[in-house]
Order: sequence, then structure tokens, then C-alpha cells
Amino acid sequence: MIRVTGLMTNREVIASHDQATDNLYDVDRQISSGKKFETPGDAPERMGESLRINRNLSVTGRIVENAREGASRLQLMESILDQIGSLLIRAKGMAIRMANDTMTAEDRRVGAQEMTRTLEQMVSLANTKAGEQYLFSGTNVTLPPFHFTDPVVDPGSVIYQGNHNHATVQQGFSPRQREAGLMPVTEAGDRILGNSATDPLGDKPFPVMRRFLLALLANDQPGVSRSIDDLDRTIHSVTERAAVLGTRERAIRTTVNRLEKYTISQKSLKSQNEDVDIPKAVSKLALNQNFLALSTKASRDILRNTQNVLFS
Amino acid sequence: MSGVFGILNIGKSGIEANEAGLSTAGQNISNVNTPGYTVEDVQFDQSLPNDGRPGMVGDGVRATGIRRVVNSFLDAQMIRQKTRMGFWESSRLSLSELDTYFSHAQNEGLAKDISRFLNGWEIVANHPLDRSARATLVTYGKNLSEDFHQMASLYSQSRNHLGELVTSSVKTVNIDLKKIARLNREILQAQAGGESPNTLIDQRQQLMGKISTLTNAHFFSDKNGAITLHLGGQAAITDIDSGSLEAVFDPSRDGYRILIHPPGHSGPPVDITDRIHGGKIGGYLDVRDKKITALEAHLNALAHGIVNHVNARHVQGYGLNGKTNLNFFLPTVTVHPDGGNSSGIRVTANAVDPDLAKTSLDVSVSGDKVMITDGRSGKTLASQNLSGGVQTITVSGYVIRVSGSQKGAAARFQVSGGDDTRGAALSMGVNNLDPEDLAAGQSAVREGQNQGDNKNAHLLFGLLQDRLHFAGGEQPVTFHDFFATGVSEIGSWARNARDHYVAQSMIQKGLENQRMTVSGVSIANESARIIQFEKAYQASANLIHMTNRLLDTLVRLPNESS
Repeated sequence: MIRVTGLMTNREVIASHDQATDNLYDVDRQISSGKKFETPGDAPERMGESLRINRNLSVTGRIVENAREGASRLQLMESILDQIGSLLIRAKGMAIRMANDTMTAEDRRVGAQEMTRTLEQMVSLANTKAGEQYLFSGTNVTLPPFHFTDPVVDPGSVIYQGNHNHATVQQGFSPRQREAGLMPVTEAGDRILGNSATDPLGDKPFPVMRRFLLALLANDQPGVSRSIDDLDRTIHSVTERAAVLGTRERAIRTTVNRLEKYTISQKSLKSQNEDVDIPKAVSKLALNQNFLALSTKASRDILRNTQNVLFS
Repeated sequence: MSGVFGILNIGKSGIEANEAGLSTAGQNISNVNTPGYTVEDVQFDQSLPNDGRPGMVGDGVRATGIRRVVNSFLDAQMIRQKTRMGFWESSRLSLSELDTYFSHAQNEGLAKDISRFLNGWEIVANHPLDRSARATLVTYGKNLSEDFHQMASLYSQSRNHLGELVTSSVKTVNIDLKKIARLNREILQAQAGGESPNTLIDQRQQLMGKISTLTNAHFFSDKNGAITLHLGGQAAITDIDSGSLEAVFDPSRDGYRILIHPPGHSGPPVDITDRIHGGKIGGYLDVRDKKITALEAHLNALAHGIVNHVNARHVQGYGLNGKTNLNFFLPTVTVHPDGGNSSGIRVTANAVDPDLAKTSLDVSVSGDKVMITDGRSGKTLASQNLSGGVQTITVSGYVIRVSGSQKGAAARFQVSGGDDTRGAALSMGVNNLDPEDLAAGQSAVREGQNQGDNKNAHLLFGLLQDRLHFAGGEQPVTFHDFFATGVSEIGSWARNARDHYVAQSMIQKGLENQRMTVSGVSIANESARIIQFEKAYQASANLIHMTNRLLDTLVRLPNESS
């Protein structure tokens, strides 16, 4: 037979009440915060998992922002090249007209004036900035990539003052993809549009336009005729280049979609790890409230009966 | 005594004995809620019988003593468990305080600021000419440094607080040791006088429990009933004399030492720190001098890693103004130029593998040639030429960058402290940089030239995912993984302490219940005994009444016969 003393009974009653209150508090805290844990001690393994997920989300979020930034620049560059292509088509039309035997020196001189304005438009487009950076100057982003030389000495001559490096955005998600993930978002302009000073006989737009212009000014009908083919070739190369940029831009957008799906899955994982299942928690709360009520009632009954037996 | 007066005596002895019983039962009832009270029981024995007719006649009852109803084994168990309880209680409280420092660590604090700082490099990479993006990045670096300062301060405050608790607990132990020694003397005196000093024994038992809660004490009872106490293998109380403890801070070990002055010992105090592994003092010392020390080392290793890996990458890049070889954070590695620095050569050094960077290095630059030798043995470790006025050499766990042009005699520098992570968190700070100094470019930059180069900024962002070497780390891991190991460790310690505390509480409660079944006061029992003693008292009183009537009869006999 076990002796049960008054002190034992009192302590047991209080301990049961404390335990029930403790459980209730724990569930209440989870419901109010919506989180399964607040400190590492609540769930060390979940905290470690959350840290890992958050790092992935941080990196992914950054890559997605980079991708959007890169895509908008590539889109702008593609659009510029498209516009330059349109101007070159107009120039080709002019070349076809000016190659006609019926054109006089005066007609060709007027044509040269119009082509000079067309060339100025092309240079202006090539010198477009995205934010504070020139797009077609490689990494010499503070300098306009193209400018005219002295029009009296060398009319129609456009020279390049950028370099041949690329500013890049990071698309590589892991260290292994680091190098491959660097997507160029500036171009070396002379590789697309040419440099009249260093490559006067080249087949890129600016040297071609310069030769066309000089032929018009010199009333050189064979020279004008040759420009038709040159312009045709250069239109194709610019269009091709624009298409490459467009393809790159669409590839980036695919990456963005993929990464956005990955972000959603990571967030879902994070939620499963951290967030309380509210309906379950509310049920648990109701259960613990009942336990507390029962515990209190039982305690009251025990104490009353003890009193009655001993002191009545 | 025989005859009528013998009967009177018997009645008197019954009254006295049952009066003692009633008094004891009353004492028990009044102490029903007194913690640590041991129920008392009166011991009765027959008085020695008298020789007489028709034979030996009993002489009543006597109360021979009042004994404590106690199970010594249970008492000893309880005292032992108090030591464990004290240890887990103090560990639980101090570790839960540390645990709260990392509240919501997954979404706030250090982890978030590390991500924000390294992500900031991508913003600069995408907008290299944007001064405000650069200035913001410098601010992120300062915020990150501030986080480390705060964590280091919190750890330091915790250690200080625990140190105070150790000191005050030791003082409490000393007071209780003196009390036990005094009680020993009083108990021995009382017992020598034939008394049962139950109250004093209960008080001493309580004090023994208090001391056990504070430290792992071993109690021994000698044949006279005095208690001797051993702490850390040394006597702390003999039968009537007590020693004392002392808590001393040892700066060489950066920890507290517990010394004991045994009673009657005239030599230097004995260091028993390594044998204090229980009780609250043991818990405080464990958390303060082992666990927080480990956390501080981990924090310093993380700060050291961030500073050195970021710097090692940053010095190799170029700012908008063309500057190179600039540390982003204040370096932890010391670079000391021989004879001042009039050479025009600048050397920076960062430890990217602290476990390898244990030796000092000598760097000498003569013309275009850079030579690096081991600081102790003089062995040549690397030799390269400057290219474009700069060169980066990775050797012995260091990344050493040399830039500038040499004027005059060969320039010499000593590089040291690569593996020293102490104080890295508290001393972390951002160099005095202009936003244009931030080295986003990988190749040389000049005004109007290559200012859009952002490859170095990409590489700095890449540190977020790179596996890197940290001091004391077994394998290369990312910044976040290294941070996570520290967070997990504090989490599992806190959880472990909590679980042990709960388990120990249940064991303690079980033992207390068991003790109370033996030594606790049951009101029902005492009430029944009161009734029992009351009836016996009444019966003895009736015996005296009856004897009185007999005496009356005897006295009246001569008158009636005449």
C-alpha cells in the first residue's frame, strides 16, 4: 500500500495544471506566429533546412532579377539593330535609284545629303544608352561607341572608340555554371557595325555607307552600283545579328520561367518546413483547452473530497 | 513500585507517553506543508518490571525517543539527483537565452545580411556606374559588420553574466558549508546529551540538498552522525569545521577556476575546476567556458572567412577610378613593411585557407621580381614577376597581391597572423572606401576605359555559393552552411538541455513522491493517530481515576470498621 500525503496531492495537482497550461501556451504561440518554430532550440533540424532554402531563394531571386535586366537590354539592342536594318534597306533603295544612268551629278549630290542624314540616324541609334551605359561600346560604357571624323576631310567616316570586352549578367545558378552563365549584355559595336577608320573596305554598315556616300558625292555610277550588293550583304548581317540577340533574349526568358517555377517549389518547401497547419493547430488548441478544463475540475474534486473526508 | 501507587504510576506513565504521541502528531500536522520536513514517530517501550507478588509486574510505558521516519537510500538518491537537476536547470536557462539570440534566424539577422551583402555585388555588376548602388553596398558591408559586433557582444555579455552567477553560487555554497558545520556541532552536542535533534537534522538535510543543487558534492555520514562533505575529491566539511570555495577568473585560459581551501589546510588552495561537472556551477561553467567559447570561436571563424575571402577577391579587381589592391574589409592578416613603406610597393595578404596559413611569410620585391619565402625556414615558396605593375600569388593558404612600382632598394614585407581568428567578429569593419573604389572590374580600368567591366563583381556574388575553407573546418562549405552549423549546434544544445531538464524533473518528482510516501505527513494518518493517542490518554486518565477511588476506599476503611 502506498501512503499518499497531502503535499504529494497538492504538488501533483499543480504539476498537472502547469503541464496542461504549458501545452496550451505552446499551441497558442504557434497559432499566433503561424510558425512551427521560432528559435533553433524549438527544431534544430528545421532551422538548418530553412537556412538552406532561404539561401537558394536569395540566389534564385538575384538570378531572376539579372535575367530580367539582361532580357530588357537584349531586347533594346535587338530593336536598335532592327531599326538600323530598316535604315539600311532605305539606303539600298536609294542606291538602286542612284545607280540609274538617268541620274545626274546634282541628283546624286542631293542623294548624298539624304544618306548623310541616314548615316547620322544610324550612328545616333548605335550610341543608345541603357540607363547610364552605352550598349555598343564593349565595356567602355561611359564613352559613345561611334563618332564622325571631320566631314570636310573624310565625309561619312565613322570610327569606333569602344573596346572588345563584354559587360555580362550572371545566369549561372551553380558554381559549375558560373563561367558559362555569364551572358553578354553589351556588344563590341565595331564587330556588328564596322569601323570606317580601321576597316574602310569592310562589309559592315558604316564602311559600306561611307563608300556609298563617297560614290554619290563623286558621281561614281559604278561605285553606286557596287554599293547595292554591299548594302544587301550588310542588311543580312545586321538582321542575322539582331536575330541572335533575339534568340538570346528568348533563352533568358525561358530561364526566368524555369527559375520562377523553382522559386515556387522552394517557397512551398519552406512553407511545409516552417508554417503551422492552422486547422490542425486549432484542433490541438481545442484539445488542450479541454485537457486544462478537465485537469482543473479533477483537481478541484480531489481537493474537495480530501477536505470533506478529513474535516467534516 | 507495586501496589496501588504502582497502578497510579502506570497510569501516569501512560498519560505522559500518549501526551508525547499527541504532541508529535500535532507537530507532524502543523508541518504538513513544510518542504523537507520528515515525519516523526514516537518510540514507546515498556518500563522495567518490578519484582513483586505474584511475579514481575510491569511498570507502565515510556517514550524512549522521537525518531525521524526516513529511508536513507532515498534521501541519498534525492541529493544525487539534485546535482543533475541543478546542472540541467542552469544549462537550460543559459542555453535558452543564447537560443533566443537566433530567433527567426532563417529570415533575419546574420544569414539575411550575408545574402544581402553578396547579392549587392550583382546590383553593382548590373549598374557599375551607379554611385548609389555602390554606396548601398558599402552600407550593406557595414551592416554585416555590425551584426557580427552585436553577436560577439551578446556572447560576451552572456559569459560575463554566467561568470557573475558562478561567483554568487560559490558564495552561497560557502555560506551553506558554514551552516552545515555549525549544525554538525549542534547535532553532536545534542546527541551527546541524549537528545534527538530531528529538526536540526532536517535543516542539515535541506542544506545538503541546496549544496548538491549547486555542485556535485559527496556526503558521508560518520558513526557519530556528523556529515562530512567532499567537493572535487577534497574535504570541504569535516565533522565540525568547514572549508571554503573560491571562484577566480584565469585570463590565460579565459575561464573561471574553482579553488577550494579545505578545512585546516594552510597551503595554497587546490584547483578542482575539472572535477566540477554537476550542479548549477557545473552547468554555468560548461556553458560559459565550453559552449559559448565554442560559439565565439565559430563566429570568429565565420567573420574571418568572410573578411578574407571577400578581400582576396576584391584586391584582384579594379574600381571605377582604376584603383586596385584595396581590401574591402579591414584585414585580419598583418602585413608589416620593413623600414617603413617608402618603396611605392603595396602588398595585401588575405588567408583563404587559415589551416594552411599558420606560418609567417616574407615578401620581397626587387625590380619586377616578387619572391615569397617562409618566414622561419627561409625556403622560397613562390617567385613571379609583376605584370602591368601587379601580381597575385596564392601560396601557403594566403592570397598575396603586390602592386605599385618599386623605387630604390628592394622592398620587404612580413606577412603573419593568417590562422589567427581571435576577435575577428568584434573587429570586423569596412575599410575607408569611396564607392568608386569598389572593385567590380576584373581588368585594368581607367577614365573612359573598361568602366563597364563587371566580372569581379560577379565573382564576389559567386562567393554566396562557393565552397570555401574556414578555420577549423573539415571540408570546404558555403558561408550559409558554415553559419547553419553554428545555429544547429546551439539549437541542439538548447533542445538537449530542455529535454534533459524535463526528464530530470520527472525523475526528481518521482523520487520526491517516493520520499513523501515514507517521510511525508499524511493528514489522514496523523488524524487517526491523534484519535489513537487521545483514546489511550483517556484510558490512562480513567486508570488514574479508578486508582483514586481505590485509594479513597483504602483511606476510608479504618473509619468504616470502627
